Amino acid sequence: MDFSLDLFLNAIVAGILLGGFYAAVSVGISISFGMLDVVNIAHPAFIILGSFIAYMMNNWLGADPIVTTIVLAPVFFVFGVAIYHIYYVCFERRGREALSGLAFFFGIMFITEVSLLLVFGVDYRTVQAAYIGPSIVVGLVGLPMRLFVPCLVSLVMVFAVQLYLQKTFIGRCILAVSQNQRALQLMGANPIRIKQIAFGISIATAAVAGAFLIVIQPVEPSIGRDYIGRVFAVCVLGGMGSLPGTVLAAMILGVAESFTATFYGPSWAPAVSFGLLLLTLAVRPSGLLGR
Amino acid sequence: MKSSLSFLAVSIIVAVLVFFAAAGVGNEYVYFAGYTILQYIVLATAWNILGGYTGYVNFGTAGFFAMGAYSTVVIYKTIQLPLLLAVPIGGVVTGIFGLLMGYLTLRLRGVFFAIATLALAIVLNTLIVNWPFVGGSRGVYIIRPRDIQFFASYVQFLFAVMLGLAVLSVWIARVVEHSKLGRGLAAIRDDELAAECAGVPTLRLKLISTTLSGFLMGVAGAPFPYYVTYVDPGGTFNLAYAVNSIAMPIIGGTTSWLGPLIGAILLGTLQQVATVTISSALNLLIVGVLLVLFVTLAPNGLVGLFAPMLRRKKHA
Amino acid sequence: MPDAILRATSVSKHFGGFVALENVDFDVATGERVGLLGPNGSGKSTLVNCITGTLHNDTGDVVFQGENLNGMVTHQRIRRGVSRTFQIPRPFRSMTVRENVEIALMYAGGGAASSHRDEALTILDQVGLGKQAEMETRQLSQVELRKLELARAMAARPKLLIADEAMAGLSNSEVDEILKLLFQLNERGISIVMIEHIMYAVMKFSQRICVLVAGKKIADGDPQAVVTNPEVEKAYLGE
Repeated sequence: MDFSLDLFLNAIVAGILLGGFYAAVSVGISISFGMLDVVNIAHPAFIILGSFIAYMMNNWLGADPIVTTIVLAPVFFVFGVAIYHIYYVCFERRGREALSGLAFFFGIMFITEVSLLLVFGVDYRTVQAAYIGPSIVVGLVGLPMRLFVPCLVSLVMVFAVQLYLQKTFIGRCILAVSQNQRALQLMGANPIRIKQIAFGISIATAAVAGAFLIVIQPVEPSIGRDYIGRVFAVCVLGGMGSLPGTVLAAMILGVAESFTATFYGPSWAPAVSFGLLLLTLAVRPSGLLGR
Repeated sequence: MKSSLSFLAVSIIVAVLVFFAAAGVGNEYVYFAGYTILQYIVLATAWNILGGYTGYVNFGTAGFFAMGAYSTVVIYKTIQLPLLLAVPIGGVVTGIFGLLMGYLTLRLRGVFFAIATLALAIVLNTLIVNWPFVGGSRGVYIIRPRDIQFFASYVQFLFAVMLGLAVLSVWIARVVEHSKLGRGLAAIRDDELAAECAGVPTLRLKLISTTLSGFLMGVAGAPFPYYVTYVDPGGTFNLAYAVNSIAMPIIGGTTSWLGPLIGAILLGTLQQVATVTISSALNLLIVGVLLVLFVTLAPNGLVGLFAPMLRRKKHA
Repeated sequence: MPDAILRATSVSKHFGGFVALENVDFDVATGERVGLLGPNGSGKSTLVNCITGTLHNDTGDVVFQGENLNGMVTHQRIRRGVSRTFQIPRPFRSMTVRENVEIALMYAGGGAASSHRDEALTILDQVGLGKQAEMETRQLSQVELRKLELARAMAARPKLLIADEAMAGLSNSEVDEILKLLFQLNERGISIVMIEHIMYAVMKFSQRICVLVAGKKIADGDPQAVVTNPEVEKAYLGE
């Protein structure tokens, strides 16, 4: 281990920037798994799908990846609504969530990944944008813009979702449905519609996060699997449905991974997220800010 | 007990017939294709004991399979035991691993167990990649013995070994299914809390289930190095194992020993044909689509679709 | 209480900052019929879960037949003679009605394996589900599912049965059917704790009533005295 102050500081900063991005990646799972109790193990696949959509838009139209994906977010929202509808009709309504639901989402994840492989092949893809490349240097610390911009936009997105959940009627219904479906019915809202909307938001955030991802690093179809551990680790550590908790947990994961990568080598990074998840489940399953 | 012994006898007879039919074809390719299908029978049956019978989804079949394969690699590079000893050793090693993993994760909700299985497969993969003794990411070469007593070739012997393992695994699945253990597992699958309140020692039974499932996946992987002769993490930790071991029982039917058997034979044969005619990626895509279709539309699998008809015939 | 089959002392349970049970004492005499009342959220289910082991109490002891159950997992307590039914029936859906009962016989009730089938049928006859023995559970009506819950609890050969809202949502005649079954079980020596909101049933059944409000026991004694207790009235009507 080669310790030096600037290495240490840069690792922390990179970790925090990465953490911001991880918050965007995980906010969807906090909604679908933390609040709705739907085990969408295919969430990372939608992230990668978003990455490739951003790639295509960037490659063919020269459009900014982040902007285009935000513009296309409604499409993913509809997609999410449709998937939840299928899930609800086939599983939740019949009370067979456990085994079959997992297998369903596993199948979806698999189909998405293999389809992307068939269309794009195994090569890594990248995007071009003005802010990929330059860095701001502040003292000992370098702030790569390709990390800084996504981190910033990620935190804005998570904040926007939190505002939506707390301030709008539908948002508050979503928060309510995670606690008590009966109360929601008494409020006059249809729980199923509310859950559809929530799931749609979850998928939309995943796709937008995908654009952030391809700005940060090159993407190929199978890297989604690395993110399964990360999103569930962040969701559980953050307290299953608490958005502030998600941000905090994402920062912790980001810094932990950054340190591991800097001082022990990047090949150990996937183990960090799964290790953190198992540790949390063993010690404090309700997470840091859980209900 | 009588019916399980007669079942075993019938299965052995069927296996012997299959063997001689394959030998009769006169082309070694039959053994290669058949081996793969038989391997899937074992993997699908093994997965189903934990998945279909107990209700706990295992996403890490590739990890257990690889553990069996790499234990053979370690034996090959150290004490050089014959395959018939390496197989049970691979099974025991993987079974113990299943037990430990179960002990760590089975107190969690089924969801977290599933994710933990995926995690362990990835961690194992990383460990193997970083272990030069078994070849790391570059892999190792296993030299297949040139010949072996009683058999025309070593490949034919491998085919026979896998036939035997298929019979063993299906027989074990059937015995478990009809036993007190099997009923307890079904209760756990249906409603774990109610099962505890009916006196079922859920943790103990779940641990037995993971150990048994792990053991069978390990024995499925143990002969693999001799089959492929070149063992590397990419080919061994293949995602195809994960998706197939889930798809085959779900398509065949998860509540009985018959489902994984049917699923493995049908899907395995389909894939053997497809890999030759179309690309292997497209082939996997078809498996994924079939999985989603069956799990949403025919959740009890093919057995579930046809069982009511059989039951009606029985009562008619 | 001298011959208490169950003695729960100073049982407390909290979830994070929320106190579900606070120093609750709860005794049941051998062969007694006790009613356990309280508004929703008062801690009744938590108390039941602490007795059966689904939850582990933070403080206090749960002593059953002189043995401290603290630390024991649910199935160990079931095998010692504690049994419960669920508010919302939880049948094993992949099994027939008879097989549902057999599981409890196999794992908790004891007896020779060869006799399980007949014993299951006997128990089903006793609860009035004899004709439904080979049916799938999804074909049962609500009251039949409640009877199956009781049959399964009986198959565990309990000495103490906790009937958690076994009559909720049933018609008057159906309530009487279940009540009759519970009386029959009590006649065989089984101590019964009835958790119910149907006052008619509670008053008819209980020899003693305990009332929980917000995690604390506020009344314990003769049924008539308890229901006319002003604090109890306030708890139910005053909110």
